[in-house]
Amino acid sequence: MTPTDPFEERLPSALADLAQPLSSDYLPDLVVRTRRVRQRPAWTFPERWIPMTATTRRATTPMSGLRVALGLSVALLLTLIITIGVLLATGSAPPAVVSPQNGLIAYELDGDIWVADPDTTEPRVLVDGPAREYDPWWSRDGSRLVYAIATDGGDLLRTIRPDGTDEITLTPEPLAISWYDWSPDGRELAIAWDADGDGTTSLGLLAADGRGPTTLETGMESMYPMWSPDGSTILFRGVVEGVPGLYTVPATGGPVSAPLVVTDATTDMFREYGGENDIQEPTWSPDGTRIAYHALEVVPGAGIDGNGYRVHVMDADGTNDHVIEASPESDDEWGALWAPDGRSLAFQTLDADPDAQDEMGRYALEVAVATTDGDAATIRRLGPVTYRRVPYSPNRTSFGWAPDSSTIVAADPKVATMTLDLGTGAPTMLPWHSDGVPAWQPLVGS
Amino acid sequence: MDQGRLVVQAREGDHDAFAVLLGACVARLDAVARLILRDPELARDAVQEAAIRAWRDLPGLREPDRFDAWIHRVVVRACFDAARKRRRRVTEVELLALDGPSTPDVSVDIADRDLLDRALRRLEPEARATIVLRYYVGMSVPDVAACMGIPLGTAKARLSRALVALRTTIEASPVAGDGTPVTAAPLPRRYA
Repeated sequence: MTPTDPFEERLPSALADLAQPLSSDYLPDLVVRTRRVRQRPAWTFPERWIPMTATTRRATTPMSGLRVALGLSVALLLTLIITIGVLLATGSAPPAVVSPQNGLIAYELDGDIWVADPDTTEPRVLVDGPAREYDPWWSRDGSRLVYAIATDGGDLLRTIRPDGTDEITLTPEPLAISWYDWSPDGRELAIAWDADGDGTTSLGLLAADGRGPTTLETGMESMYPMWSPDGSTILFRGVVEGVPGLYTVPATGGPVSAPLVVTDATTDMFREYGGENDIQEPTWSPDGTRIAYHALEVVPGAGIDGNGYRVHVMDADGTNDHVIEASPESDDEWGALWAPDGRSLAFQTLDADPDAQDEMGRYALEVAVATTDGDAATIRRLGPVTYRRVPYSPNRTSFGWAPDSSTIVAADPKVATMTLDLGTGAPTMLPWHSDGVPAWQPLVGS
Repeated sequence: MDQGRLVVQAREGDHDAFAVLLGACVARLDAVARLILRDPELARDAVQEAAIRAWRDLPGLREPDRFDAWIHRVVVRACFDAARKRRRRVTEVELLALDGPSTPDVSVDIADRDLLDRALRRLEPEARATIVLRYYVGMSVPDVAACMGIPLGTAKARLSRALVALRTTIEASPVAGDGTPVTAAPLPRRYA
């Protein structure tokens, strides 16, 4: 460095002074954090085995046929080695195990994906970009987050690690995806998508390494795929001749089960409304022994039409189906989510009486928690969570459980995000808000 | 143990070797990040992100003796990412004390530091990075270009413009950080 100007000569010492003190008290933290990160294998870096030195472009000279053949052979060999390596790496990954520890809360805000530490309440943006990124959803071991990117032609799905590294695009092109769910081992996602662009949805599987979608044949219009906790089957809502029901299909493909439950097509309600909105959002209990869903019921206390959603719980084979109701006065009760420890079931309740609206046209929404013990349920209502009715999100409802089952995080989109005390029912406002459903990261191994 | 040997060991997966490497350079990397970002918390985040990237991608480093340049490049890129994300944040972070807790070094004239700091803040992060790499880290201009991933000509032009802007801001500053008028000093008095 040979500065010729007094200003330049003085600049290094001025900057050095400004940079004082030269110390870092977070080295131990850095060491711990980096130790948790796995190194990329050397063979995945092309620059380790291909000369990458930048050179000025030269006039190209025709390659001899022998050199072309040799080059192609080397390229093919390398591709084969990489492919085998990827397959081996994928195949040897240990199955994910979820432990009940709370990690980061992921959420959408202004078209970006943010994460917040619920302890420090410090939010940071994880994914940003010109398009809208939304609906984050953690893998079951919390190691990756999947989210959707809205495009003119549909959605792209992409995954990312919580530290913002290792982004993988799962969809080779925009797809009309309406639902997705991680497999328990994190190697695939089950999706519901309009594969043919004809307005009907079918099931598909997306490999987590980005190999693209494959169709999971069910022979019927299918949606809401939910992977069983043991990974063997996928629960879904199927529609046969206009009548919805719940079915399962082997995750590796195969014959669809007999219906676990179907809509009663003989009722006046079915004749009036059809089955379009009936039997929705099925979800497995964490131990795989029970299934919850919501369905349209005749609810005399419902204000407008005497019908409303109610939450059902049944055994995994479809037997012992019964309603768990928070209040006969609720217009709708829906969106059941099992606590990760399986001991409770939370769902949303709404009284849509116009008198219940506030000056902004919003309803008071509550979250009800049913502590289930066989068929009996003790109901506790939490909230209220001020809420505007919005279209259902692919990520289910506007609340989620903490992975340790200790609390519930709920969102009033663009207005407030809160945790709900399971004991008192009182909300605690978080110092940030989200536009969509908060997703709480489960932490593994602690 | 020499750095090259440590880099080779860390490249082969020896995290203890990487920790030694990190310990030797983290304070300086933190200073570089603070100078580029002018925000200690953001700088800490950037260094943390850079450390993770460095450990993860170290097996891709072909030449161990290029570790210093390589790790600076990783930090500079993490700083740019952090600066880009800061622009999108709903609530800007409060600009705290610039370089951590104040020290009882009576030789440092805070007013002059403020003047240089304000001049740096008026530059874009990319321009600040060229200044920092060239005059604080001491890189040659070709190394600055390589570190930032830009052509040599672009680096020269960016550095020249940044110097002019820095000088102009300092010379045109009507008051020092403590509110007293600045006379004819083109640089803080301490460096004149």
